[in-house]
Amino acid sequence: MNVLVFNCGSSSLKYKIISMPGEQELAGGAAERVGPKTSEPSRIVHRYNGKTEIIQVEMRNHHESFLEIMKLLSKYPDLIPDAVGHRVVHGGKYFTGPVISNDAVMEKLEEIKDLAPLHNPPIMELMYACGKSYPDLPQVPVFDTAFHSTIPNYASAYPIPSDICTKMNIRKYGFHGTSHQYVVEEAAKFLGISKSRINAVSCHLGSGGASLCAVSKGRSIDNTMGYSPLQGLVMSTRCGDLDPAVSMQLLSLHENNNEEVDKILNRQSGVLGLSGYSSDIRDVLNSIASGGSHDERLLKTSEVYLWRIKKYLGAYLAVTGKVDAIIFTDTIGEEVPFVRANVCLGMEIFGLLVDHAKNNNAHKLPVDISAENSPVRILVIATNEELAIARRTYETITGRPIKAVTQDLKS
Amino acid sequence: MKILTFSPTLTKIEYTLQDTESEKPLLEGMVKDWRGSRHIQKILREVKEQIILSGYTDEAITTIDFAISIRVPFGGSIFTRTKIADDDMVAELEKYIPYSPLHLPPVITLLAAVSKIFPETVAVVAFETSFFTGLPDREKYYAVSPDMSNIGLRRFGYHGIFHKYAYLEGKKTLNARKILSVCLENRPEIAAVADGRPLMVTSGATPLEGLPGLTTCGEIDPYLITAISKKMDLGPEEINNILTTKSGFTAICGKNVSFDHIFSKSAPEYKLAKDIMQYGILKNCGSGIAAMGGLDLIVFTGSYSYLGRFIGPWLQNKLSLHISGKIKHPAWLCLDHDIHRLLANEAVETLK
Repeated sequence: MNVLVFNCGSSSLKYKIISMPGEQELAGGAAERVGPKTSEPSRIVHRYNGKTEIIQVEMRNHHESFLEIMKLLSKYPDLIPDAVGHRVVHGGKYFTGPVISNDAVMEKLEEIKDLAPLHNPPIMELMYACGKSYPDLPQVPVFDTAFHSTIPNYASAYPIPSDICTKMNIRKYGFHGTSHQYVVEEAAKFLGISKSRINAVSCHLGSGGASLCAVSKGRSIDNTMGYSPLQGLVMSTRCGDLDPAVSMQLLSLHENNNEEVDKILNRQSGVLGLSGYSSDIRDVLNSIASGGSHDERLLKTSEVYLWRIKKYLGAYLAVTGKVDAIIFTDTIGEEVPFVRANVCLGMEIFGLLVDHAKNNNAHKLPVDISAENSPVRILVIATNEELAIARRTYETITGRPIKAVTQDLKS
Repeated sequence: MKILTFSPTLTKIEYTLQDTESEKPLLEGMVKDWRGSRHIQKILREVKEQIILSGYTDEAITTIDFAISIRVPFGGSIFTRTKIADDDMVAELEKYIPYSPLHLPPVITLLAAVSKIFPETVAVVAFETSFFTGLPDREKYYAVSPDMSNIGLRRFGYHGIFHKYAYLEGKKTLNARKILSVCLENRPEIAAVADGRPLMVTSGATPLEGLPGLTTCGEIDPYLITAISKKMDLGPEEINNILTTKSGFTAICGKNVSFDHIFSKSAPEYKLAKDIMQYGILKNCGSGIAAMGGLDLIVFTGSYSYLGRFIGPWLQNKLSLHISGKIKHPAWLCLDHDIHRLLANEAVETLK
């Protein structure tokens, strides 16, 4: 079965064709600069058989980008999709796992689209386009929130009046679930533990968004993100945790202009707001390492960023209890040894001991970077959300669970 | 030494007369709705009369054996320890009113009234935030533009007097250096204190952040403020009222509650509230241990410190620490001094 996996951004549409259940990536690419005209033309960057092809074509919306991608794939007989898997950011209270899309599913998605006003509508536009042009092609939305539907009430409830919670469906939803679930399953495989028995803390440290997830017996029991992806860690431009009184002060200061406050906290804060230099923590760390250590603002950015991860790591190690492993993944987690070493520094009390040579040479993933005498394993695992979506899509359509495969598909 | 202590909140002012030679206060009282300059002067005159009726002369309350100690919830970054009240202090506090607009004005009125009614008696002011002026930058700052930090946006703790007490007692009784101080008040707060220095605290720029309280929401997704504003068409003042007076465990239980209700064994309807409270404590203890790189002792203080007898063993069982190749569980301790006893101690120490 060829699964076409879509990861839809506001102005881009990434895709991969993965042959299942063999988990072989056949092709991939992205439609870029989708939407109103920009300084450069919109285009599709397509990778197949080791070659990269760039096709310039106007794509005013995701419907058009979808049709162009399908047109491109139809040129290759071995790339014809049998099913489509979509990364959907928010599943609200309705979706605790992937489903085959139909009218009822779309109705529910319409009902909850306000929960992720920036992310869900473009995906839905894509799903409608797919359903209209290819009605016989099954579509499976795979939700970032689904893995976190197992978070117990005592960790997901916000202590605010129930009438507001009910009206607005307020609870901790958690995000990055597809990635957390994937790396936890890979960690279980790596350690030879059943995926339904592994206890872990997964650190998904992206260059944009980031979250930690506490996992008990293979199930999410807490996530640093909350009702929205704004809560928790310091991210590239998102503030993460903030005293609610500060948000209210900002709202007051900006005369109830919600959009302005959302813009400040989502797009002008985090690493960018703290450093005033870059939204990418790697730039900040590199600048400090290359002699910028006298810049107090950069040092402060680095300290606040790293401490917030460590603070939550301690919290989640405490709530998870007997932990088998902590896992670092995504761009920063996979590529920046300094972040991993710093976050684990002084955490012997939780059973974390890093082997610094292994940490500095963690290029071929997955890899265990813990010292031999470390009671808890410290793993670096490449996330592969597209493969995770392909797995969930295959399982949902066939009803058959994926067996353990250890092939690394990261391209 | 005799110390007249005052602990004002927004809704009431409590006072006691403490004797350093005795465990029990010589007199104690509480007045609700105490604010307003004339009203507080009247209250203080009545307190003075009570003291004189108990056998103290006007002269006795002006000697070096008599002092006043006042708890003040917010002292910004400038008041790093308990100080003797004077005009300069009041002038400084007035500058901080924008950062604590609800709490500081009545306190400033109280200081003026104390100076008027007890003109010859030395008064010290103990700030709840003093203990936290030395928080490390990594814990102190939010991930926002420094424009906001420059206007005073930073994290404080708001039960510093209890946390200091927890640290000193932990050090004295068990020689503990790394302490998790769990202050069980209506608005609970946890601090990690290593060698006397706070490294982590659950409260934030205001006391609203952190663990949920009886009516306060605690830590929530910051996006919820604008989301509620949009969806419910509410302004910041209305949202503030909801999050400070109608949230927390009152919202979870759907009625007014106390921590005694929540931890009562025969109250299954409070189970979710109890689970939220315990989980919040466990999670933040994990952060505190990470901040200190270890843990010697958990100390419970505050009006509900006795609940530490239920929470302590639960926490002890949940926290498995890797020490010298073995799994160990932390010790815990409940301390029962109330805030007035600690205010008296602050006065004695400051006037030494």
